[in-house]
Amino acid sequence: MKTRLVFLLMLLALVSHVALGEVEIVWGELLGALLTGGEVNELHATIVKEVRWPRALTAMTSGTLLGWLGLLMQTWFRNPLAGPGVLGITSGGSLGVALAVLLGLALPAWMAAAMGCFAVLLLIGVGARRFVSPVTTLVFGLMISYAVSAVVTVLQSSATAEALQTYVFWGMGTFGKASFLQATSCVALQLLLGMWMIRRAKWLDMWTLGEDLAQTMGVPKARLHLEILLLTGLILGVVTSVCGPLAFLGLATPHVYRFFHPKRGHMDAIQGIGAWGALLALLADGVVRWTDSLAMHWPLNAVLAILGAPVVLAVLWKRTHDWS
Amino acid sequence: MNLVLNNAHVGHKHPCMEPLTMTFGAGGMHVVLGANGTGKTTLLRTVLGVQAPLAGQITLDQGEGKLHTNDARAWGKHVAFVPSMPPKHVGLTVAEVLSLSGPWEEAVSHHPQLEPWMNQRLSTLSDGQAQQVMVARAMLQSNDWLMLDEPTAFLDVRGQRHLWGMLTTHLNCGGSVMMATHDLRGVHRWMQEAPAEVAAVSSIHVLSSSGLSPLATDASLDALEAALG
Repeated sequence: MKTRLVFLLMLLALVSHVALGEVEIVWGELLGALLTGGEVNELHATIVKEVRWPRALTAMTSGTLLGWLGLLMQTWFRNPLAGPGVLGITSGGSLGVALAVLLGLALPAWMAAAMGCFAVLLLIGVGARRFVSPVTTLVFGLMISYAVSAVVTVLQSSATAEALQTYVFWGMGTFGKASFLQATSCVALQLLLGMWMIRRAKWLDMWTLGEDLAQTMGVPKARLHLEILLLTGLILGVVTSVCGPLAFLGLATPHVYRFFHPKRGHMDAIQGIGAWGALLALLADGVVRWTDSLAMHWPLNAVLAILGAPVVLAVLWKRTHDWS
Repeated sequence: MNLVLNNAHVGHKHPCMEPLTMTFGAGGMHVVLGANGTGKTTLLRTVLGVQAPLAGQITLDQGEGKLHTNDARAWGKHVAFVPSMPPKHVGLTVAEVLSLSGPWEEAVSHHPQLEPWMNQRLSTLSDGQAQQVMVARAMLQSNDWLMLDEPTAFLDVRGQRHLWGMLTTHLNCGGSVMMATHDLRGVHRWMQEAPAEVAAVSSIHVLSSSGLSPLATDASLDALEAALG
């Protein structure tokens, strides 16, 4: 499949995400009024500008960012099962948010989440040096997840009902709570990570050949590790604090890309996974909004798991012999 | 350029052999034999600059020009690596892998047997084929030194023959080779067939905790086996 086609589908999803919704917007009228300077329907303009557009933008950028981070983790650990969620990095973010929300620390949630992500990344980074087998690294990440969840549970047991509710709803995940500012910062982060990955595509390709070999080919290991650590911690922290601990997207998007596309070089994968991540996130959020309109209100994480897990399993089932 | 070890202490935290002071001549095939666990891989990683020597220095010398292992960028232009096991699960095509180190067309012109694999993924090749690709890649990276860590360990007879052939090509083009290996027969046969001018600067060493002890390059197979036994 051509990446261009995925990109077009993604644009289509983006447009329909903004155009369609519970409140029917007469687009001819609204656009006409904007162009001719006529009287604008304030309600409709507000809905588009402050509700739908930030939501669509957040879904799109978070999907892309998580897909890229998944690719980055899979390359870094040379492990197809790596991903921000699997390695416990997202849980680190959850712990940060839990500390901020449940204990009422005077710290913005994104900063707390980023610090949590950094902490876990550092732990894994140190651990991965010691662990020869990538499987050990995964189990290590899993154990961190458990330990962190336990701490969060302890925090929950002594939190106020109000704080608890906030935290639980955050944990269900949503693209709908993002402010325009938060959506814009996600766009900025996407630009940052996108440019970094394109610049480092060759290093990442070399890294897949093996750690020692990559170093003799000119990849400065310490610098690459530091850059990955900083970017992943910051970006995952922001995305997690804004959208909740999103499962599945980071792990699955690279696999969906590999299922449909033959090219494995990072330059191609960055484009394809970016488009797929945005498309999958927009589709999932479309389902969430559809259930909202039916007054069923499925949480985003539930939709991602219900739609996503079978897809990932199918992909893994068919492609176990060649994940890369 | 000559590879010079000057009082180099090799090891992790503690030296795993006596300090090494010696020169490996440019244009030669330098073989390091040694039982498992004597530190062949550690020695190679140190010479490659992946791991710093605990003390002393390792340089490439020619006239007054001198390169150090810690100058990774310059070192990588003169020293390339072929690991023991070709990397697994690499979805890049052979052309893409070669392109990481130079124009793949150049590799094909030197090694026509690679041509049919160009658009195949590295992961779909056999170990023997993949190892040839890895040697070709290293030759694109450096036309000076190639460092190989037991390159024939996972190859069948045909794969081994191809590999030795490619190393001969590299030496004929003016390159130098250092390899750690257990392939005594391959070493013996190669040394017997080597042109005199290459053999003159080549060496065979046995690695042990007391360092590198030289063997004659025209040693018999029995002598090689005895030295390792």
